[in-house]
Amino acid sequence: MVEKSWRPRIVAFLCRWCGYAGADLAGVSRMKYPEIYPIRVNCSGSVHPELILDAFRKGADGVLICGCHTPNDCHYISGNYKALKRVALVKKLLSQLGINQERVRLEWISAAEGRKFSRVVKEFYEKIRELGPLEVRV
Amino acid sequence: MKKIAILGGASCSGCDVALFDLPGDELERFFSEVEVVFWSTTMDSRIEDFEAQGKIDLVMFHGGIRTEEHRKLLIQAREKAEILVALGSCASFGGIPGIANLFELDAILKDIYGDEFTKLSGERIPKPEERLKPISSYVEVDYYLPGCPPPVETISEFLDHFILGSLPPRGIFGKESTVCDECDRIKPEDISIEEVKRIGSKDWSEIDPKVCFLAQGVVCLGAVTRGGCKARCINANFPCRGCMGPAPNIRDQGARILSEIASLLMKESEKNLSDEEIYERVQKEIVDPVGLFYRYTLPHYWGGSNEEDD
Repeated sequence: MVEKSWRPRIVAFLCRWCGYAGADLAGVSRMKYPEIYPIRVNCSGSVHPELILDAFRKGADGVLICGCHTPNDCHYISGNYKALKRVALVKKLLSQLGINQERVRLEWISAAEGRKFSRVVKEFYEKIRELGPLEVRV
Repeated sequence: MKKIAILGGASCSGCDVALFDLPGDELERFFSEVEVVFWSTTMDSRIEDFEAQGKIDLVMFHGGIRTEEHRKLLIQAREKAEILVALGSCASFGGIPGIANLFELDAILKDIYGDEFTKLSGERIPKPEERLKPISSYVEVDYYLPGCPPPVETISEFLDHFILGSLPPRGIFGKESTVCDECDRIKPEDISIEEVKRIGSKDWSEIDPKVCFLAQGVVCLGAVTRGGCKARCINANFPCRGCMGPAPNIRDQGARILSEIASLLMKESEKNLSDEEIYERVQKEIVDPVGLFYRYTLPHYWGGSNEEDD
């Protein structure tokens, strides 16, 4: 049983056009959401699998990636599709390595969706709390 | 005369055999210029002979560390060696036996020995370590000669430098290139993989030996793998499996190729598919990501020796 005071470390890669703007909107609208470590990136398609795996190797308990809605919102035309396909493979890889694949979550969040951002972070935070601290056993 | 010892841990001895790929005159010259004090694969030598040795100029260690015995041997090797070489991908990165790290030790032993193991352990079978690890997890390594087995040209070049005393600074002894640099196949600008073609599948005979494997839907690790092998597998119409380890400036070979393959999958049709369809198809096309992308390097990247590179 995880201690009540335990706070998961969640790294959030937010694309600068949508995910980060959505987080900004949530912030200026004074919406509340649990603590995460936000990292602004140019595009969800630039979140390399190496970065996701490195986050886990170095102590993250969950990784959240927020990009622009499919099919056509991506500022770089198809970066969001790259993110989708990479996350699909990374999840499969993680489950082979004995890491619960729900520790990675990909969401499309537009600049107008502050409310959705806050809801997604809350849900994900609760999910990771439920899963407990990550132990890499491989 | 300089002394050499060749020994190993969890290894198939293919690296030993690779030394015999040296052309006859080179092999002869090599044996006339150095004294081989221990080489259990080819000579009648016992572990006691190795223990009796003092300083040895060059120790080449192949295979990863799977048992307590391997570990003790390696530590002795380090104490005796002027220069310690990780010969081959198993010693350098863990190699194929390292994929066993996906499973718990008890489950592996039970699978192989049934319930007999507890009776045999410690007496006739050396005590296994919890995880297979590359040798750099236990000792400092002077040179790495990756490859499964290392290309004979690399071995020959290394031995030449060793005999002449002109070895470069410590580290990976290999080419600063990728396998793609050495591959002559035609590489189209734009590649999309709709369906992954598996080795030996029904339509395998349709593979064009002049065109890039990726363009034909076959997963090939050439782009992220260190060169020096002269693309020997690709020239035999077999895709690169990444045995030479990460190419220069690539930190995580498996993650890098995973990323590349993911980007190419469904590239043409993605805008007509729903997110769920893409997700499912990508997961269906790549059956075994660890076995495909970390075939030779799993212990190196996960739970291995990779932590100090920041």
